[in-house]
Amino acid sequence: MVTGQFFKGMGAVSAAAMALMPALAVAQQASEEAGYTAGHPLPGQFHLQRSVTPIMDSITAFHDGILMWTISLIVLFVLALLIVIVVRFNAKTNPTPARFTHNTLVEVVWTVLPIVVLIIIAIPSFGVLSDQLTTPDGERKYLGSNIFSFGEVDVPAPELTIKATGQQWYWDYEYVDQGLALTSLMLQEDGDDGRLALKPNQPRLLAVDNELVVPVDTTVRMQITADPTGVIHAFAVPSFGIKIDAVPGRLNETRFNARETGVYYGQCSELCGKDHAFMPIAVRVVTKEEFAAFIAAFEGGDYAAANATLAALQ
Amino acid sequence: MADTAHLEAHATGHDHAHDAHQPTGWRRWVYSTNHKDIGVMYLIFSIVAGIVGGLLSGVMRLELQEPGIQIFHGLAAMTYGVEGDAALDAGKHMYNVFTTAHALIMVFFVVMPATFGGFGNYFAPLMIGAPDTAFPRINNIAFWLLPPSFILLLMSLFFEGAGAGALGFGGGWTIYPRSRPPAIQVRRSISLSRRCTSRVFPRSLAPLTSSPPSSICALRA
Ligand code: HEM
Ligand SMILES: [Cu+2]
Repeated sequence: MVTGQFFKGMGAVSAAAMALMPALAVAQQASEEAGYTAGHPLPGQFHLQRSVTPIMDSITAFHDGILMWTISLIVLFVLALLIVIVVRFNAKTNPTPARFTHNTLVEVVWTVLPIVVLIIIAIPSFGVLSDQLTTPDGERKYLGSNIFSFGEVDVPAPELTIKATGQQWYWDYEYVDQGLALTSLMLQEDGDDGRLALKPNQPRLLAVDNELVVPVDTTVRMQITADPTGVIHAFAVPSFGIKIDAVPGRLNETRFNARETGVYYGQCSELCGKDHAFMPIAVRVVTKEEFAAFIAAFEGGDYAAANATLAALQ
Repeated sequence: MADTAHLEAHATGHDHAHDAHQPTGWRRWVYSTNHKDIGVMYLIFSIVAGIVGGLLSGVMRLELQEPGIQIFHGLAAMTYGVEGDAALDAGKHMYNVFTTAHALIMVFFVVMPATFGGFGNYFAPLMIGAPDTAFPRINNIAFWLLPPSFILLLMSLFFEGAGAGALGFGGGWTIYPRSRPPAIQVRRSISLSRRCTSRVFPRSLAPLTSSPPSSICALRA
C-alpha cells in the first residue's frame, strides 16, 4: 500500500519532469494509464487531472508545453544572472563598483523581451479562451491539444441541455428539455442517522448519492446558476476543463464533450459558506444507449429506477 | 554617508544644524517624516501582524493535519456554548473566518507593508539619491492609518457575520459579498473587514464601504 503510493508519487514526479520534456511524453502517457485513469485526484498525484474533453486537452497542452517551458527558462535565466552577480561582483572580486546609472540598451532589452514573451503566451492563451467561450455550432473547429493550430478538432453542436443550480450546500440538476430534475447530495463516511454512506471504492468527500448522468461523445450544454435566495458557488469538473461561477439570478453557460465513459468528480469552487467543502459534483458519463435507457426510465419513474438501468458502481 | 548628508543639506536648504530640531522620544516615531524611521515602523508593524496571521494559520494547520474535523467544533463549543451538530456548523464557519482573516492579514498587513512600506521607504530614496520621499507627512499618516485598520480587521472577527449568532466574516479574502443570503443586510463584520482594506487603499476601495452590495458585485465582475 505504502510502496504503491510511493511509486505513484514517483510517477507523479516523473510526470512533472516529463511535462518539461515533450520528447519523453510517451513514457508519461504510460504512467498516466497505469495510475491516473480515475476521474478524481489520487494520493500523491502531481500534474493536472486526466483530460477527457477537447477543452481540457488544450488546457493541459498549454500548461505542459509553453507555460512550463517559459517559466523554467526564465527561472534558469534569473538564477544564472544571480550566480554571475554573486561570483563576479562581490566586494572581494570587484572592489571598485561601477559608477554609471543608465544603460539605454539594457533598458530597451528588459522592456522588449518581456513583451515578446507575453505575446508568445497570449496567442495560444486567447485561442483556448475563445474555445471555452464559444458554443459549438458543428462547424467551428476547436484547438484540442494542438494549441498553436487554427483548430482541428470537430465538436458537434449541443444535443442535451442541463441546468445546474448551486444550493446551500448541494447541487440540483435539471434535464431542461426532458423536464427531469434531481438533487445530488454528498455521501457520508459513516452513514449513521439515516444518511447514505460511501461504498468502499468511492472517493471520500467526492462521491454523491445521485450522479449527473450524461452520454459519451455528445456535446452537453451546461447552464449554471445558484438559488435566487442563496449565495455564489462555482461549478467545476477538472477532467472536463470547465469551471464557471454559479451566481444567483444569473445564468452562466458552458459545455463539455466527454470522449470516455466513467465517473468524473469536481467540487464547488467558490467559497460559499460552512459546507463549501461538502457539495461535490459527480458526473457519470455512459454510452449513448445506456443514456437513452436511463432517460426513458427516468421519465417513467424516479431517479432510483433510472439509475437501476445502469451498471452498479463498484 | 558624507554624500547623503551633503545631498540632504543641499536639498532642504538646511546645514548640519538641522539635527538640533529633530524630535526625540515618542515624538520621533509618531510625528516622523523620516523615510527610514517610517520604513522601520512598517517593518515592525508587519512582524507584529505576521505573528497574528501566523497564529491563525497555525490553528488552521492543526485542523488540517488529519482528515475530518479535529478542533474547530471544540473551539466553537467554547465560544458559543453550543454542542453536537450546532458546534460542528459553527466550527466550519469559524474555520472560514480564520482563513479569511489569515489571508487578509498576510497580504495586506504583512507582505505589502513589509515590501512597499518597509523596504520601499527605507531604500527607494537612498537608491535614487533623494533626501526623503516626496510627501513625508503623507508618508507618516499613511503608516498611522495601518494600525487602526488592523484593529478594525481584528474586531470584525467578533461581530455578527453569516447568519444568526455566527461571528466574523467567512467569505474568503476576496470578500465576495454574497456568501450569505442577500436578504440579510451587509453585516458589521463584513463592512469592518472591508473598511480595513479601504484604509490600505483609500481611493480605490472607498466607494465599497458606502454603496449597496450590488455595486460591489459589479466591480468584482
Ligand atoms: C505560516 C505560514 C503559513 C501557513 C501555515 C499558511 C496556511 C494556510 C492555510 C492552511 C490556508 C487555508 C487553506 C484552505 O483551507 O483554504 C491558507 C490560506 C491562504 N493563505 Fe496562508 N499560510 C501561511 C502564510 C501565508 C502568507 C505569508 C500569505 C500571504 C502573503 C498567505 C496567504 C494566504 C491566502 C491569500 C490564503 C487564501 C485565503 C482564502 O481562501 O480566502 N499565507 N494559508
Ligand atoms: Cu458552493
